[in-house]
Amino acid sequence: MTPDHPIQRGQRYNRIIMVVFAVGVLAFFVGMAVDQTLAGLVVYAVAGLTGVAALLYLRFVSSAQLADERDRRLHERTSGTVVGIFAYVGLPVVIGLYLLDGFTSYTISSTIWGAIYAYAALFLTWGAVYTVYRYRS
Amino acid sequence: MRNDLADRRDASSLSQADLAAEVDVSRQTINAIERGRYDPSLELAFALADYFDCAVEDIFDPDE
Repeated sequence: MTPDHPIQRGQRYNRIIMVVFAVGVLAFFVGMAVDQTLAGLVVYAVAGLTGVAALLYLRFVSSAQLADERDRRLHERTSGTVVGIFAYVGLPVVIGLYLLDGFTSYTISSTIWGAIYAYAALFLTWGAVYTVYRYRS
Repeated sequence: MRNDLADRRDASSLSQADLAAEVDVSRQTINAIERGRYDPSLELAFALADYFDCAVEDIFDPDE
């Protein structure tokens, strides 16, 4: 496989973009650690937005191929496993919080409510996307 | 699913990377197929069969 093959180029670009993301996350935490939060945040934002823009370009414009069928199947399996974990672990936790809130002196904080809304949004989105795919298949 | 992809590739003096380029997948995917860790899609199975000028069932054994 030549270095210019679309898949090999895609793998190379993908690795570079992951490094850019990692640098951004690292800068964010280093910034906080050395009391330069704003500088860290700026590097994080620039790295993150650059990475997203590069991924969008590679996916929709470039001839480089970011993933082959095995990569896509790995992504599908990973997504399915993560959603499964959130469903089977998260739902009992949410129900438990409701019960605690209703029957004990425990009160769900605004932060936890935010997490519950995000959790609900995740599954509503999953359901909407699944419905679209189901009707198209 | 068992397959004789590695034998066919060796017989053709191809590297995994060469075969991967011929059927437009990554070298890692060819490696995973040869090791029996990944079952290819029908499209890829037909592409491999087409490349080696044989039938899909000549390369892949569904009973294994």
